[in-house]
Amino acid sequence: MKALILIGSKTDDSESAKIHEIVLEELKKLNWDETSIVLEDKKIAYCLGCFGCWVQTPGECVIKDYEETIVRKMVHSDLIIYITPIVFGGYSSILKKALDRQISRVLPFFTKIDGEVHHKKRYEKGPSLLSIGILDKPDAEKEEVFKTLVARNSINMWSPYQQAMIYTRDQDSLDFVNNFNKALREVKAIL
Amino acid sequence: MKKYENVLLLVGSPKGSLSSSVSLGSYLTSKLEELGLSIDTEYIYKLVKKEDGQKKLLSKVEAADLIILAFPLYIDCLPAGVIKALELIADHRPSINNPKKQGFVVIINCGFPETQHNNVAVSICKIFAREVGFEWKGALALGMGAVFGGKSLEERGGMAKNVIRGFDIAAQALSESENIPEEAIKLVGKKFMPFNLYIKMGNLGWKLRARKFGARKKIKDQPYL
Repeated sequence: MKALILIGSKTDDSESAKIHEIVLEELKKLNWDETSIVLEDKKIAYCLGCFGCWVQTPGECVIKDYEETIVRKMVHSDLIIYITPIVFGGYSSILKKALDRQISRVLPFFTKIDGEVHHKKRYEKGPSLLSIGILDKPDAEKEEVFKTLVARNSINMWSPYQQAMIYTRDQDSLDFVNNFNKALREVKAIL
Repeated sequence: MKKYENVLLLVGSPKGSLSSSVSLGSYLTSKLEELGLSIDTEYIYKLVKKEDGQKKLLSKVEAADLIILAFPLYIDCLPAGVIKALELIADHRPSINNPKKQGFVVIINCGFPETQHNNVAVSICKIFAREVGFEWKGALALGMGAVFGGKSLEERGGMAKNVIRGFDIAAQALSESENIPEEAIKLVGKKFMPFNLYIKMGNLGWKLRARKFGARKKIKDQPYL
C-alpha cells in the first residue's frame, strides 16, 4: 500500500507540520509506505493550458520539471493525501500548482458519470484521495466549499474513495487522529 | 452610489490573448467602454511570477473601481496563478488605509458542456470578495468555453447570441454600479448546442489535434506504467 503526501502549506507552518507528523504516525501503524513532498521546496512551473499532455506527448506534460516525479508517483499510489491551508474555501496556490499539472492522468475524451460530463480515465486504477484542510477558526461556508471541491476532484480524477477532513488550528488532535485512522481503514478496505 | 469609472480586467488564463477568458472578458469591457468607463487589462500569469509584477498587480487592483476577473476552470476551481493573485491581494489589503469601495465580477468558462461545473469556483471567488472587502457584483459562468479560444464573440455568430445578450445586460447594470441581473447570468449560462453534439465534436477535435503532432495513435498511452 503506497501513499503520496503532498504538502501545500508554507514551510514555516507549524500546524501543518504537526498534522504531517500525525499522518506519518497513523500510516506507519497501518503499514503504509509513504512519500512526502513539500511542494514549496520544489521547482514546479505553472500549467500552460496547452493540452500538450493530451495531444502532443500523451500522458506526459511538455514541461520537464519536478511535476513529472509527482505525477509518476500519483499513478503508482493507492492513496494521495493533501495537506493544505483552506484558502477562500479552496486549496493553496502552492498545492494547486502541482494539481493543475496532473491532468495527464486522464484522457481528453469525454464520458458521462451520473449524467454529467467528465474526462475518461487513462489508467485503470486511480488513487483514493484524503484531503486535509487547515482552518484558522471554524467557518461553515469554507468547510462546505472545501468538501465539495474535494468530492468534485475525486470524480474528475477517478478516485475510488474520497474524504475531506477539516483541521482547525488549536483543536484537540485526538478527534482528528481517530477520524484519519478510520478513513485509512476505509481506503484499505476497498483496495 | 458613486458610479464606477476605472475598470480593471484581470485575465487569469496562462494562454493570455489566445484564451477564451480574453474573448469573454474583452467583450464585456468593450461594452463598458462604450458606456463611458475607462478600461485597463492585465494578464495575471505575466504578473504573479516575479516581485515587480506582483507589485504592479497590487497597484492596478488598488486603483480600480471595478475589477473583472476572467479565468478558465482548472480541475473544478481556479487555476493556481489566479489563486496566487488572490492570495497576494488578500495579504496586501490590511496595509491599505481606508480602501475605497470596489466592485468585483468574475467570468468563468469551463471546457465541459455543463455550466454547473463552475459552481465551486464561484463560491471561492465570493468568499475571497467578502474577505478582502470587495463588493460582489456577480458571476458570469458558462460551459463549452473552449469554443471561443481568443476569437471575438461576434466571430462566433449565432452560437454566442445568448452570451452576447447576457453580457450586454451585465454591462448596462455594471455601468450603473448595479449587481449583474439574474437574467444576464441565466443567458450566459445557457448551452450553445446539444450536449451530445458538443461531446462528439470535442472527442473528434482532440483526435485531430493529436494528429497534427503525430500523436494520434499514442493518445491513450500510459507512459508511467
